[in-house]
Amino acid sequence: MAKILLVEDENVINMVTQDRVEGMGHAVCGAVTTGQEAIEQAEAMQPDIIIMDITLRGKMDGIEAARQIKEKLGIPVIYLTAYDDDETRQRAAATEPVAYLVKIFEDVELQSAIDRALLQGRQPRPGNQPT
Amino acid sequence: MTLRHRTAIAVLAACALITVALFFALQSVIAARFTAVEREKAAQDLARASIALDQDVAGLESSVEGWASREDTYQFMQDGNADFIAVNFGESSFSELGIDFVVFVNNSGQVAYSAAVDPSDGTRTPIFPSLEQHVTGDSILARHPDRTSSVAGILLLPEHAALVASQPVPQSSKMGAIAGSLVMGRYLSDAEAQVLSLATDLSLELRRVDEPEPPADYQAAMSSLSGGELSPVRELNGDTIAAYDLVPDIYGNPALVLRVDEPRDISAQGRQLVWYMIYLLIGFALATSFMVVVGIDSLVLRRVRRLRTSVETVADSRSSSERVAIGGRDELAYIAGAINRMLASLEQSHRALVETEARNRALVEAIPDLMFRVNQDGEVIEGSWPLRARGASGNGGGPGSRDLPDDIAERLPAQMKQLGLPHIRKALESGETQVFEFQMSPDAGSPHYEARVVPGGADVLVMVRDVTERKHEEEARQKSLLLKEIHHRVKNNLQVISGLLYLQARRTRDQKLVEVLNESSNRVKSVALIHQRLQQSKDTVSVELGEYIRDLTTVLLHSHGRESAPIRLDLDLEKNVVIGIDTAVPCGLIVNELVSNSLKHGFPDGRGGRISISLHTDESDSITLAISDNGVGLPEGLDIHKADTLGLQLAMSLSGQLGASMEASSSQDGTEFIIRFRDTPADGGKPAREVAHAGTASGDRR
Repeated sequence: MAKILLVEDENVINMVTQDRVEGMGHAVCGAVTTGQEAIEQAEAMQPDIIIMDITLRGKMDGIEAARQIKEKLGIPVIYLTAYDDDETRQRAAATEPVAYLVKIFEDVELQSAIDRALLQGRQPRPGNQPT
Repeated sequence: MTLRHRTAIAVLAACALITVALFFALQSVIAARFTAVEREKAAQDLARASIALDQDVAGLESSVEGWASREDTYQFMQDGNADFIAVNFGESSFSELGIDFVVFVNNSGQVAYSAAVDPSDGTRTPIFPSLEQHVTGDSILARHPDRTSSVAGILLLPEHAALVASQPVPQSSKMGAIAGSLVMGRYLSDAEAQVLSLATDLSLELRRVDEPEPPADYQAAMSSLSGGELSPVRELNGDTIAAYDLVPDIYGNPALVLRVDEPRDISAQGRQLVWYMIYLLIGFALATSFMVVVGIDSLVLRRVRRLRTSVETVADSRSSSERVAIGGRDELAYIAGAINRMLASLEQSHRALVETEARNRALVEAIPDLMFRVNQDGEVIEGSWPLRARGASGNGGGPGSRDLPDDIAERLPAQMKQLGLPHIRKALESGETQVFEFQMSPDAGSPHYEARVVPGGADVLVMVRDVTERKHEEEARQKSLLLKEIHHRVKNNLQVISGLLYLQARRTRDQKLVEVLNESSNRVKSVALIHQRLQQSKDTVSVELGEYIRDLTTVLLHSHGRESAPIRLDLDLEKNVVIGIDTAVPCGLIVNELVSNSLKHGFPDGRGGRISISLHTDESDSITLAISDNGVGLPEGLDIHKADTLGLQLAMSLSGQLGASMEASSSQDGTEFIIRFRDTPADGGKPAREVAHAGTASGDRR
């Protein structure tokens, strides 16, 4: 069972995703709607996985939040977004996510992404890498 | 002036300068030398004159000695015999003796006898009283210390200067005593000077030193002589030179100035010699100049003229392949070689320039822009109109029109100048290219232009380009982005609705209601998927039907929980069947209803099976969509047109909305629905399929 943080600006979608994730047997440790909250909650709760939307409330988008979380904490990120254009995909790819799922997605796709994230685990942060 | 003339003038000038310099050098050296010789001769002649004067004195002295040594003279001094005087010093005796006075002085220093003649007429006169003072008393003329004593020289009397000699009058025996002194003298008159002049063959003159106003040359000579200079020589004029000497009297005091005049024959000869040499030099210089000019001309200038002619020939030919033809191994040949190398380099540069110009011309011709140079006041200096030259079609009335006149500067609209002037000035001030866009008319259909103002010195180069197409593309892109955002938001909202239905279903225990909610959720998803496809499509107004059906059926299969069931989807979907949103929404809902119906009712009791969907078009662009399964089939006797289930009612209704024909066939081996329709936009515009085909034909593959 994975401890998952949800980051999504639409609360209804958050509820649906939470329901679906919990239906898969995982625990949702929090659901936030801004990038800054995502960083703070990730530091506070140390989730195993973060499911991140790209469009968020506030100035910071999901890609920037994922970049900072990846840099500070190394927590694997699964993007869950309605954007499917090349530019957004390239920007997101720079943060090395576990998966990039485009809404409308199926449970099996999300489950597969969560499994890969758990298998990968946290990535060592640059400062902690052995020399 | 030619080089030949310049060379001749230069050589002549050099010879003239040399001649003049030699003239002055010769004159200063030779003439000075001749003058020195002349002065030396004058000094020598002066010495001769002095010797002559001394000899004159010596003659007088000798005569006095003869008279003084006579016995009768001694006797006269003893007895004063008058016969002695009468016999020896009669009227004619003075002239015969060459004397003007005679004085006998006794041992007491008194005059025993004296007599004189007037030199002007020869008459006998007494001696001058002034003379008596010099021959009486203890005068050196009156008293001689011994028998050999003698005094002779000049005696300067106020009346005359005179030659005077005095001897003692001794007894004839050597042991006898001196009886007195005999003094004789001769006045130094002009005649005496002439005698001296004749004797020496010199022009000489004697003047007293105490003369009140002597001539200027005498004054200068006396000044020099009194200063210690010996025998000074003075140039009286160009023809005469004079030498001077002081003659002392018997007391050793200066008495007379002796001047000897010399004609300046020597210096005249020197000058003549100088002129002879100058004439010789001039002749030599002229001959040398001629030979030098002829030599330079034949050795150098002739080759220079040949070089000039050759260079002029090359210049007149106006051909860069011509070369200068000068042989040899001298400097001129080197210059010719350098010119030829320069010509070769110029020829190469010219060729490169021609090629570059051709390339630039082609480049300028290829640029579909209006280009013109504008000064800081916005006035056009020159311009080119490549579009017009190539007959390119424009939009009429503005840059790019084929009918624009040649006098662009006068015909350009004032509005353009007004628009461009600030940018022109800013470009000139900043040195940076300025870019601005403008329209000639505020009408919506008016072309758009982009002007680039490039600073270049005092002017600017303005390039005007028709950017209407680009503007339209930008607008279309903006519109596309807007539509994508709209589709994104619609899809998001639909997803929220779907999520709400999902959440509601998760919290409902009534299985029928759960099914209804899930069906509704799937219907919303089917529409949301269309918006997702529209968002992903390039034109944002059409979707590729085959891909959409593949996505939708996959979602439906998972939604109905049959992802693990043995129901296989068999899809035969023609590619590039593109339909607009007006067709896609009802088409998607039809597929949703029929596939959902098949999944829900076609395979009861968990049985497996196959659902087949085929999509094809024919030559008339009619789209045929066939949905079939190998399930249990429709209930026997069911008329799909009168079915009471919402799914079939919706399918029928939406088929009518599409203008589609729907055929249904059912048996115990399954059910098949065949829908035929066309992509007909609600606004009556072109079908998306045609638009897509046009885009494919133009290279824009979808």
